[in-house]
Amino acid sequence: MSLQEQCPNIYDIDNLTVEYVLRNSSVKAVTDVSLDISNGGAIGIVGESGSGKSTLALSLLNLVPTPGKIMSGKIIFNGDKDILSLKGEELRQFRWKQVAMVFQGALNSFNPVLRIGEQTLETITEHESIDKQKALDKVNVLLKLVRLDPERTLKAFPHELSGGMKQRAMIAMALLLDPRVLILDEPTTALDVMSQKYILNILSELRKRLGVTIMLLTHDLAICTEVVDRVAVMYAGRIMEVAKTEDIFMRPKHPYSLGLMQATPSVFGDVKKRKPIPGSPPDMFNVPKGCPFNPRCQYAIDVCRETNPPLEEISRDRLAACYRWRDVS
Amino acid sequence: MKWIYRRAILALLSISFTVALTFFLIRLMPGNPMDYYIQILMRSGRARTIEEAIARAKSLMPVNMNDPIWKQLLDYIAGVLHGDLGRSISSFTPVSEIIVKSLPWTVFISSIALTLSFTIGTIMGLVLAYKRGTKFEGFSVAALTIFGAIPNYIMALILFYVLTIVYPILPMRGGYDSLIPVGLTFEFIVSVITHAILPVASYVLTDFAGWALGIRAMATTILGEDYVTVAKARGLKESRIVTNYVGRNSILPQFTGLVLSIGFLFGGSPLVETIFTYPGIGRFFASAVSARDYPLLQGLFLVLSITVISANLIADILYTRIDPRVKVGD
Amino acid sequence: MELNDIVSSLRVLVENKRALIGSLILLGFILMALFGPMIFPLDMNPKFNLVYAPPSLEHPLGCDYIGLDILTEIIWGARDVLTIVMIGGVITVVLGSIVGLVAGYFGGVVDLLLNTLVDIALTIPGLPLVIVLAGLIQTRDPVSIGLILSANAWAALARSMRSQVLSIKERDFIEASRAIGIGRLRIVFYDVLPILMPFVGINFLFAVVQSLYASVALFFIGVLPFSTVHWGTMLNIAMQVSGAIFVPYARHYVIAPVIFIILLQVGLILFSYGVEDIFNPRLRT
Repeated sequence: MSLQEQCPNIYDIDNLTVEYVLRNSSVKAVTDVSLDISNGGAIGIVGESGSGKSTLALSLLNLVPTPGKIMSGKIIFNGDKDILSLKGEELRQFRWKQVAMVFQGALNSFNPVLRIGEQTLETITEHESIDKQKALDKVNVLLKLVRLDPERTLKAFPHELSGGMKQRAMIAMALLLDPRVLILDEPTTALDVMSQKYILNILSELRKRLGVTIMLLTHDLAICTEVVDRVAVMYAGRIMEVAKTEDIFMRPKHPYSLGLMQATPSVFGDVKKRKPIPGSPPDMFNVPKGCPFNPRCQYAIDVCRETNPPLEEISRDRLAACYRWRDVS
Repeated sequence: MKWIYRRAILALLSISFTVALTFFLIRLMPGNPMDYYIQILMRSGRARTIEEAIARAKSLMPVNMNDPIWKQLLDYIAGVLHGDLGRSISSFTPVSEIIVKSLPWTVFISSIALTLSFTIGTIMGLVLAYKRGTKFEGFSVAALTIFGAIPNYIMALILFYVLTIVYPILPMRGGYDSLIPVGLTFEFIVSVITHAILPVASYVLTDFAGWALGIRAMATTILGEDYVTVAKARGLKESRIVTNYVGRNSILPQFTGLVLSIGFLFGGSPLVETIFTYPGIGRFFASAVSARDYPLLQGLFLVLSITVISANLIADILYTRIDPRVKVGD
Repeated sequence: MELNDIVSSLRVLVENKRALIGSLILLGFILMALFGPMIFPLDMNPKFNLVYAPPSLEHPLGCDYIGLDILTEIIWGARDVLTIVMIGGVITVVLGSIVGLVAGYFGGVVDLLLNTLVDIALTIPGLPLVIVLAGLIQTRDPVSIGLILSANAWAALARSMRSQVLSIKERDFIEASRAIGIGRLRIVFYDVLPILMPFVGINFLFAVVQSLYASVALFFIGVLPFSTVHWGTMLNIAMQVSGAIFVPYARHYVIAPVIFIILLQVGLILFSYGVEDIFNPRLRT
C-alpha cells in the first residue's frame, strides 16, 4: 500500500485531556491537546519533565496507567480507528502491531527473569502464528540493523546487557511487527554520546527504509534536528507551538520556544548568547490561571493571565498558542 | 562452587553441634539418668528385680553411663551412625523404629500443607495486588492479618472443636481409622485423607495469610515496574503478563522463605499433632517431653535437627538454580 | 526524643486505622494486667456448685472446671502472659542486638565466629528446641522462661542487625568518631546503636509475638507448670485434664482463652504496623 493510498494523518488527536486522580487532588497531565501526526513523517515532542509528553504518548496506545484517566477527547488512528474505544482483544492486537513505543530508559523495560530471546519471540507469537524459524530470521535481521550481535543478545538476560545495548534491543523489538508508528520516549538520555549518534542514525535509516512514522519525545532540542521534520512544544500539559523544525529553531513564535532556544546551545544559535528561562517549572497541582507560561513570560499581558490562548494556525503548517506571537523574536 | 562447600561444611557443623547438644542435654537432668530409668522401670513393673532393671536401663541408653565422658560421646556418635538411638522408656521400642514409623506421617501432612499454603497464598496475593484500592482488598487484608495472627495450634484447637465435637463431621484422632486394615485399598486411602484434612487445614489456614500478604506487597511493587507497562504495550495477553511477568518476579523473593519452610516441614508441629493425636514425629516429641522419656526425646530431637538442616542445605542449593540474577558466591 | 517527635508519632498511630486498633487493644491488655488484679480478687477455692457455670451477669465469661470465675482468671493470666512475653522479647532483642552489633562492626575473626554460631542456631528447629529445653530445665522463673523462649529467635535478629550495621559502618560520622580515636565499643553503642533503635523497636515487637506463640505452646502442652491462670495452662486443663473441650456446656472455658490469645496477637501485629509507619515515613500513604 503506497503512502498516498493511506490516510494523510496517521494520528488525529482532538482535544485530549488526561487527568491523574489522586486521593485528595488531581493533576491534569494533558490539557486540551490537539495534534495531527502525518503519515510517514517524523515529529518531535519537546518539553521538560512533567510537561505531559509521556502521558500523551501513552494515550496513543490507550495505556495511561491508573490513577490516570482520559477525561475527554478523541484519538483517531489512520482515519478510522478510535483508539480510546478499543478494548480487550482488539486493543491488545492493535498494540505493538500498529504502534510500538520505546520507553524512557530501557534499563527496566525487560523482564529480568526471561532471556531477551524469549521475550522477543513471545512478542511475535502473541500476535501472529508464525513459523518459528521465520520469526528468528526476522529477529536476527532487526538485531543486526541496530548493530547488536544476535547470538549473544538473544541468549542473554537483561542484566547482562549494557544500557545502550538494551536500548537498541528495545528498538529492534519495537520493529518486530512492522508497526506503522514508532514512539520513542527520550531515546538518548542516559546514553553516552557515541550510542546517541548510533541511535539517531538508526532512526533516520528506519524512516528511509521502512517508511515508519516516528514520534520522538525529548527535552533535548539538539536531537530534533537530526531526525524529525516537525516539532511540537509542550508546556504544563498543553501544546504551545507546532512548526517545522527549521522554523522552531530559526523563528520561534512562542515565548517558551524562544526561551528554550535561548537557553540551550543549539547548532544554529550563538552559544555565547545563552539565557535561562526565569522562574521555575509549574506546580502541576496548581497550574497558573490563563496561559500556564505567563509567570515566566516576558511578553505576558493581562489577557494572558486571564484566559488560556487557544492553539491557532498562524501560517501554513504553523500553530501557536500565544496572544502575542506576532511580537516574539 | 566454593560456596556450596562452605554451605555443606556449615551444615555438617550444625549437625555435629546438634549431636553434641543432644548428647549433653540429657546431662542437664538433675541426678543420674540411669537411676531415674531404673526407678521408672521398677515402678512400671517392666522390671521385676533390680538386676533386671539395671540391665534394661543400660539397654535404654546407647551409651554406658559409667564410662569416661569422652568414650560416652564416641560411643554415642558411633551409635547414631549405626542407627542405634536407644530405646523409649515408655514403650521399650527402639527409638529408630519409632522415628521410621512416624516421620512419614509428618512429612505427608506437612508437605501437603506447605504446597497448599504457598499456592493459595500466591494466588490470593496476586489477586489482591490487582484489586488494590477496592473494598474487597481492604477487607481481605484485614481478614488475612487476623488469620495470620492466629497460632497454628490455636487454629487446630478451633477446628478440632468445631468440626469434630460441635459438628462431628471429621475424625478426631489418628492417622487413619484403626478398624480399616492397612493397605492400598480405596477405603484405607479415603480414611487417611479424611484424617489428614484437619491437621493440614490448621497449618494452611494460618500460613497462607503470611504468603498472601508477602506476595501482595511484592506484586504491588512489580505492577508499577516499567517492564509490566512495556509488556502491556507489546500487546501480550493479560494471562501471560500475570504469570510470567508479575507472578514470577513476585514469587522470586519469597523463594528463600519457601526454601526454609521446606526444611522445617520435617518437624511438623508437636502441638497440632497432639491435638489431633496424629501419629507423626511431632506427637511423639510432645509425649516424650511430658513423659520425660529422655532417650526418645534425645533421639527425636537429633533426627529432627538433622533432617531440617539437610533439607535446608538442599533447598539452598536449589535456589541458586532458579533465580538467574543470583551469582553463586553470596 | 523531643516532645515534637512523640506528638507526631502519636498522630501517626491515631491516623492509621490499623495501628489505632492495635494500640487500643494493647492498651487494654496492659491496663488489664496492671489494674485488673486489684479490682478482681482471685479466690482459688473451688466452688463445686459453680462448675462450668454459663456466662451470667455475675460471671461474664462463666466459670471453669472447679467453679472459679473465668474472667478473673483471664485477667490474672494477662499479667503472667505479658510478663513472660515481654521478658522473652527483651532477652531476644538484647542477645540478638549485641551479637549482631559486635559481629557487624568488629568484623574479621569475631564476625566469622559469631556468624557461624548464628547460622547453627538458625538451622536448629526452633519450637522443638524450646520444648526440649523447657522440658529439661523445669523452671517457674519468668526470666529463665524468657531465656528459653529466645533460644532460637535471637539468631534471626542477630543476622539482620549485622546487615544493618554493615551498611552504617562506613558512614561519615562513624569515620569521624574513629578518626578522633573513640574506642570501638563506644562507637558501637553510642553512635551506631541509636540509629538502629527503630529497627530494634520493631524487632522487639516481632520477638514478643514469637514469644507469645512459643510460651502459650509450652503451657498448653504442659511442659511448664508455671501457673494455673496462664491462658495456655487454661487450654491445657480444658483439653487434657478436665476434658472440658468434649463437654458442650463447658465450651466457654475453651473459647475464652482462645479469643484472648488471638486478640493479643492481633493487637501486637497491628501495633507493629503502626510502629513501622512511624519509623518509615515513606510508607505513610
